[in-house]
Amino acid sequence: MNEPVIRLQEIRKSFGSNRAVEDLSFELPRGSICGLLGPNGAGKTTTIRMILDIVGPDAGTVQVFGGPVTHETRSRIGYLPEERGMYQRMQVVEQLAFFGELKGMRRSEAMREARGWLDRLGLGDRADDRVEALSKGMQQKVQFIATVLHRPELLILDEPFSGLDPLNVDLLREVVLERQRDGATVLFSTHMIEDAEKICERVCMIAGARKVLDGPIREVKRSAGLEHLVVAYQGSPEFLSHPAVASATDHGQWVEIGLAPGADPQALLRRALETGVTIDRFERTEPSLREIFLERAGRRRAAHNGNET
Amino acid sequence: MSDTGPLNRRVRSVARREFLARVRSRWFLFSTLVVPLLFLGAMILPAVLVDRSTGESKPLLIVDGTEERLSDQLIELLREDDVPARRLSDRTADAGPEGVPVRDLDSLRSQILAHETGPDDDQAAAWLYLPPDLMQGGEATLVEDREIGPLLRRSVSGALREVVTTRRLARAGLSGPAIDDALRPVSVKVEPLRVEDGPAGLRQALGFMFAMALYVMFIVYGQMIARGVLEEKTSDIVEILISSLRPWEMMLGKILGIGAVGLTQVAIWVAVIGIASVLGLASAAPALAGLGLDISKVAFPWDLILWSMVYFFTGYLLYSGVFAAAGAMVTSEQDIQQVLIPALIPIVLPILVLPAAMQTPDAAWVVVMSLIPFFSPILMPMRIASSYVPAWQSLLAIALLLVTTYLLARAAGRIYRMGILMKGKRPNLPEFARWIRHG
Repeated sequence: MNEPVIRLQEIRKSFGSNRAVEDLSFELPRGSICGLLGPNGAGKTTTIRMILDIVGPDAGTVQVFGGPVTHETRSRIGYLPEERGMYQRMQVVEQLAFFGELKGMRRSEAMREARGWLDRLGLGDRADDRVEALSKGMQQKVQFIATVLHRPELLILDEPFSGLDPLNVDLLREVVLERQRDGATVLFSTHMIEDAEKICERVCMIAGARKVLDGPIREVKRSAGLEHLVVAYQGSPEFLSHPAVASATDHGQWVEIGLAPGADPQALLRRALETGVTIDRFERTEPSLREIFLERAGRRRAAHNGNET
Repeated sequence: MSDTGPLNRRVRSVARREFLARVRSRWFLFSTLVVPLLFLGAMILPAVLVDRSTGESKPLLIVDGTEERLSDQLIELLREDDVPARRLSDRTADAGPEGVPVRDLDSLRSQILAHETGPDDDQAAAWLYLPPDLMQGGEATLVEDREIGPLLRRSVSGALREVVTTRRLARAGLSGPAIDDALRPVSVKVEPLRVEDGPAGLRQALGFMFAMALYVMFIVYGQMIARGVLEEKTSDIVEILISSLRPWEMMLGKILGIGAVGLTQVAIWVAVIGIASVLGLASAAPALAGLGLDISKVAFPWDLILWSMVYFFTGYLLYSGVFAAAGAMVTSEQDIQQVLIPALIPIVLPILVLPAAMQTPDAAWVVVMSLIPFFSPILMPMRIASSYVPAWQSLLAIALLLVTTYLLARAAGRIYRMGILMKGKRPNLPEFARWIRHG
């Protein structure tokens, strides 16, 4: 029963001359919660569409629940597309019941569940309104309910939190985590790496149609092999040109420094004090996912450019 | 068991949604009420309009060049027909509107035109010129400034013929009663072989009505399908649907749901119009019986209605696939007209030939056209109404329809599947061909 819920093997997809996904292999273990990360246009949505059999891969195989996607497996998946869409003239609860029916629920059961979810997400009094009468944020919550209504074993969420206020982001995140504790497997895509870092156990990063890295966050960070410093200071940034500094990202209140391999952070601290800088904070940390991603994506891009010349 | 078949739960859910969304709309209420009203209006309005028009009509001005003063009797006869007429001048010598003698048609025309521009512009419906040699076979001329309509023309020529014939008969020595006897009209009454077919022409009129109704339904419901598909594309619902069900399930559910709306609407119309007709006929029965028509002996044209239903079903299935594919091909409201026009041509074509086809329902070209799948749903009911259609022709038409529907539905399904997720630019013809081949 250790069969991964999703298994992609060497999948590839092009649209005309544009290569959307290239040779992507990926496994998602049952019960895990995984972030599919990457910049806009990296191929996240195309990958998701191939997992759902909305578009077929040009090459490679997609397996969900240990086989190809069928009627039976479709009803075990909950999918929140990036482009949200609902019948604007339909009543909220009717709409949810319809989506529930398509996933194999009985109509009466779907109605009851829908009302329960609407109450929970603070939309109980809007159940009989037409969708078009709801604000964009409310519509997004309704769409989210449509995704989880039939208690799917696999949740695939494409940018689930975009456009929501922090209160609602917390509300939906709570639901997602609750579903995962109940045994569901979750894959969600986002370009907000900080979102993923908060709730994901695993990440899969893609950039320029290729996978950059993949695995449990802890391992990703360990194997990144990067040593990082967070430094808050007042004074001249002159000390950052020290050879121990491989990269420096100014976050405003502090600077995140990637250390050169084998460099001694104490040497950097001494150098900073010598140049008359006042240090408020000097801390060795794990690299953030963002740093790892930028480092890897950058290396790929450099390699890519190198190939071209 | 029912979870993979063509009518599985998902297809039924989609059909149900499509049906309810439309039946609950204001459009449905409106169109369902308006059509019977239009139908009643179409029956009542002509009578009302005819009554109105005679009351306000301008006089017919007669330029009488005959020595016999035929205009006297003509004016009297026209008055019986509610056509006001008066003579422009008594004397042949100065018969024209300008008081100048009319020698030929050109001089009449120029006088009328000259007169029109004058201050005392005489309002006339038309001018009638009676030449001096009218009794000897000369030609009378009706000069119209504006179209006066076929009814008025028929009144004028009928009255004139009666006047001249009466004079000729009198000249030949017949007396008054003998002339009346000679002029009594001969009428031909058309009777069907089987009394239950009702009065001749009724079935054909019914057939024409059904053909028109089918035409309107195909167009209205076809466009509804195309727009429904487009709406799902533009509002991005399609992405959710496609993760839950197969494209063919979406398409089939939509076609069935919208078809059910059409049937509901037709059922309401048939009920309303049927009840109105039965009540109307019942009240008119004594009057019709006076004309020798016994309503109670006229059988309800079940065969015609049944065949029309069969052609409605199959025709709807055929066209709906075309329209679903058309809706899937485009990505915006502006583009949809471009694909709808070619989709509408096979529906409009049989309607264009319908009047001619009704005259000769068994001509070779009509028979051939009525067997061709795209035309048969509209032409066959008309032929069944107008003539005797051999059973093999009816069945062949249905068989061809079903085969075409099947092949087209497959192609449409493939276009639909590729098209629904497409955004932005519209693909060109070679790309469509590839979709159909490879799906």
